[in-house]
Amino acid sequence: MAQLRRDPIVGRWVVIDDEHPKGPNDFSKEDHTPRHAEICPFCPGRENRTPLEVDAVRPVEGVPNSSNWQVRTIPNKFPALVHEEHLVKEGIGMFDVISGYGAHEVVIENPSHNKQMTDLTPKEMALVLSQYQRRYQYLSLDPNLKYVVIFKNFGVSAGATVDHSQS
Amino acid sequence: MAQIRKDLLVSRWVIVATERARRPAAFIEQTTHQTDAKDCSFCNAPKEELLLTNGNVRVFKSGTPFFLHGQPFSRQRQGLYDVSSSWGSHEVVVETPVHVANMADLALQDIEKVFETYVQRMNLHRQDKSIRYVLAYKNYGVAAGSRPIGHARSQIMAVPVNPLRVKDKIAGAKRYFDFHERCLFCDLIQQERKDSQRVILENREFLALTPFASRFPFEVWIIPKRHCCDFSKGITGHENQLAQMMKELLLRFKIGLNDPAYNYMIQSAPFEEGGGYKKYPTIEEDYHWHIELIPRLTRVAGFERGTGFYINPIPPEMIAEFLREIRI
Repeated sequence: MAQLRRDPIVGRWVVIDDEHPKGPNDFSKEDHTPRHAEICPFCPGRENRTPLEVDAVRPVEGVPNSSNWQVRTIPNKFPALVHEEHLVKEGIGMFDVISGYGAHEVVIENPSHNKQMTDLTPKEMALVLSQYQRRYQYLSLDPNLKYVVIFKNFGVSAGATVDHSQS
Repeated sequence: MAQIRKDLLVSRWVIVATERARRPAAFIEQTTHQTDAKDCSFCNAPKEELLLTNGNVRVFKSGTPFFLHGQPFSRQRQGLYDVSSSWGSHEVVVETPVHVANMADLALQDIEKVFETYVQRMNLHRQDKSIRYVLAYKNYGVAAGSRPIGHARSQIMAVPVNPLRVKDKIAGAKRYFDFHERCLFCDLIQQERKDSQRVILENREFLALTPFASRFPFEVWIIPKRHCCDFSKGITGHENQLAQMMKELLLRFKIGLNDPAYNYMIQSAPFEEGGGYKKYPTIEEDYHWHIELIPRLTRVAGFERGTGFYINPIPPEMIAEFLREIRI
């Protein structure tokens, strides 16, 4: 028989099926082979096809948007929120509205099109994490921003739209 | 530029795309929900226990129930964790004997009977003092969580704890009532009828609208115009009005969006008498039952999961206009 368990942090109840548990392999899997390398805008050499970078790590000091980067952060081409706008708060009848102020950035984790996050070396992974930290610290200087969430969508069913490893 | 809108009920913010909005028609997908009748366990007699027959509608115990009246109800503490036995009921409402997939294609009288049946099951579960909440809901289509069997049905879950989402809604409605001494939903109905840009349909008893801070494209709320916190009380005598509105909305989805997968959830007040005291003593005045109807057209990804903050690629005003203009 199933059991109900309460998440002690938010108080949400969850049904855990311990009577007919599925096996770890009973869930459908998706093919994650990276494709479309020939047209990938995140690959080195195609920096001019993305919005101008906001940060990057290069082994030697280089010109922004040049191709010798190890990690590169760009504004999302289709941003949900935009940083240049003014923050405007407004009431419409009983409703509250704020203008779409904020930042929506993409961290390209590695120059290689064929590497997923699991293929990164600890050193490469450390570059990704320190890039997160730098963006976080930079954005926290803006008093209009209240929260930064760093997230990754890997695979189409998780919401990814580009094969190149990114968060 | 996008707008960030606040849902008044649960104080959730939603990003609504305005300039970069996709057109409503961009969400039309080719899907099929038809399956062969000869493989259908709901056409042949299901082997599960028949709990109730009401006209063409039959209620069966679920073949794989998550909640059962099997084992004594108990709540336990395991260190800092709380555990409860899954006392309750998990039922499948088979809406028609005919192999029809979408509720949109049922006769009005059959849809009426479905809502009447929900009430009968809720009233039965209400007598069990260990049951706190009953959710009647529908998963139509595989993308909405259904098994690939194209036979119209919905589900009822009777559970021994109050779900967090329900508590959040009740708390939001109470906060509003405490401040304004008016029901949030009654105010909402008044404002939305006056404003009219988010209203899709209206009949004598119900208003269908796209919520101001919709999380998903084509999210629709059906709100009864008469104030009542409890579905089983509020709907009685008005089943035909709800059936008419539901059928009309589902047909508009089917025609306008090419038969999308969808969920609906009936949002009613929890049972009050559990535990022998009133947990929500003011709920009759501050809560208002309603239905959420949501086609499954977009994916929930990392941002939504990490924040509970949603990005809606299309303003609800455009959706309401699109749905108003569909001819059925």
